[in-house]
Amino acid sequence: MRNLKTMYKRNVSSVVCVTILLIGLICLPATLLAVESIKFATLAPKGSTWMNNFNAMAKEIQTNTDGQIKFRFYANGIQGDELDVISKMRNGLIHAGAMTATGLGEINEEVLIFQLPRMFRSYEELDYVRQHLREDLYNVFLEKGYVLIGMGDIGFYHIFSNHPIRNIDDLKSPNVKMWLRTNDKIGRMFYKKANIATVPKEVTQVLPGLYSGQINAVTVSPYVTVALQWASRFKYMTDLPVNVGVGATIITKEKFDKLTPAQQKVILDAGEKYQAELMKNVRQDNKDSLDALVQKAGIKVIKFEDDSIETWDTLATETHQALVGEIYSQEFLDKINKLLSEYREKK
Amino acid sequence: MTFNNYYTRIVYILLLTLLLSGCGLSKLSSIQKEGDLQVVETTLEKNLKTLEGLAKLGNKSLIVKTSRAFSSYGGFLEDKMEEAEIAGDFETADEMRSKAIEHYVRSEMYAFKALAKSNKTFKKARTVDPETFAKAVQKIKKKDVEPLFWAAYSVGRGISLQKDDPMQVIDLERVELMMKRVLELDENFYFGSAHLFYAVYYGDRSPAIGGNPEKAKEHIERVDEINEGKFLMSKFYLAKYYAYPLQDVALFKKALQEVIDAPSDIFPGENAATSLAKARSERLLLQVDTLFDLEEEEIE
Repeated sequence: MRNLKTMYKRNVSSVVCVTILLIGLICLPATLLAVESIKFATLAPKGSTWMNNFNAMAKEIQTNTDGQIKFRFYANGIQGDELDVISKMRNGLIHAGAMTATGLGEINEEVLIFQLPRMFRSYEELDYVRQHLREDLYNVFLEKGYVLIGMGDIGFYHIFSNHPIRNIDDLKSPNVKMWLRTNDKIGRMFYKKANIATVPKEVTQVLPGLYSGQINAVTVSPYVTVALQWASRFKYMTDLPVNVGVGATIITKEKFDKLTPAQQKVILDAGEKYQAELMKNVRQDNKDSLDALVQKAGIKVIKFEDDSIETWDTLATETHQALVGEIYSQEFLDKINKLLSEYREKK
Repeated sequence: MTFNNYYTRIVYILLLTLLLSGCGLSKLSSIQKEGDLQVVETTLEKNLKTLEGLAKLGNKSLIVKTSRAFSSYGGFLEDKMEEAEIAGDFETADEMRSKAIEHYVRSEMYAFKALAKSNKTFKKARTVDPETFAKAVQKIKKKDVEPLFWAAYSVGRGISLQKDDPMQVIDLERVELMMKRVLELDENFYFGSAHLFYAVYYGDRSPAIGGNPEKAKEHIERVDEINEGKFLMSKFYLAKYYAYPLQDVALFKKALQEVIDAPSDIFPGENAATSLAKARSERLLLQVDTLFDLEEEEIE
């Protein structure tokens, strides 16, 4: 009898538990039940500053969503180049990625305005403008079906060459063979205005070009020169920061919309925090790379003459204006110039 | 030479005689025949300090052996690092990474010390200007291929563990130069492992930034030719640095399964290399669902 009572009690409590559980499950939104796996692709290699940053961000997002959001990383360009990744994002095969100018230009050319020659003279100027345009940039990506997790850069580009470049005439010398990325509209316009001959090639063709002598000058960041093993091909770096290389971390709106508002907030908060951290580290990497280039690759830093800086800046401003309507609107250019004037006046 | 130095050398020579006849270094000298990886690892670990002591005698052969032992043990530490990473124990993974780096630094130091006996440039191998370094590497003769390989190997492994440090990464060009010279002098050296360096060099980065899986495959195939398919590590490399970058899951599984299923005595006298390839292949195969998008594969 006692056993029967115990069994009855157990059965009742089991039924009650199951019922409560079922009601609970019915009441919970479907999104809370499933673990969302975000597939994230990048060219950055495992163990690089970028991947270390993305891993830390993913870990924090996973913790702050109680394990409901997990990232699956495809580093080292395993999912193809940036254009391949964009195509896979459009098809829903990849959800997020870290992009440079190539990928970002495919989504929305307008953000390439940050790459304009001599638009920014310092990281402080760049940070000021970017901070004030946060909402605009967020909306620019949203219109194209992407949510901006973090807008950043890969550092200032400098001229690396085999001949010392002290002025614009040095670049016009027939001995200088300046590389231009094939679809770089901004670079093409600037060099055309400056009357500097270029050798258009894809990034993958640069190293063979440097070995064959077809190319002997490029504009890239010190970090890229080190990471892509181009360092031994150059003797000089010109100190003038010619432009900034843009970079951003994005997620498709389609995937983002599947998340709860709380989960979306966790991603955006972590994105902001880790983007700031990434920028700090990338800038340090560029500094360390320059040290490495000077100390270990024997690269000499050449001062660009003041007169030529003035000419270069005039050509840059003409380039900014010439690309209105082709890459960005007059309104967007004016907005950035206004912010820059504001910042420069404050200083 | 001072009296103290002379005395120390005599003591070391006596120690050397004793140790070589004892279980320690004699076991180490035939370690490649040992198929039990735990024994290999323990033997290496136990003998590192002894080897360092003996290397102080200045004998080039002992210096090179010390370099090789440090690099080999560094590989075991990297394995532990990977195991910890897979288990999500990032603290242990970081500790193992730091230890592995320390061992590669010591390996590198001994290898360059051996090379410096023929050319003093190698005393400052990582700080001398690139042209002087390149000339010195080009002058290396076949008799020095062993320290050259271990110098390149240890610097290369150290860089791969510190990809976030430009001061390290910039020396990849020096490593490539040294490995190129190893191939020129004796491409068969150490199972043709200089080819395996190129498999990583071309297979471990995107084609968009200079990677080339097909070139990686060519180098792996050359290792198979050199060893008549008996050196199983080549198949592990085929899976990791060719099949994975191309996201070819079928080839990835096939190559690793072949290593796992191969007879443990496939390469007589090289049981350690066989066991290592098998252990690494088993571990890599277990990660298949994190390295490949299997859902997508199944849909296709």
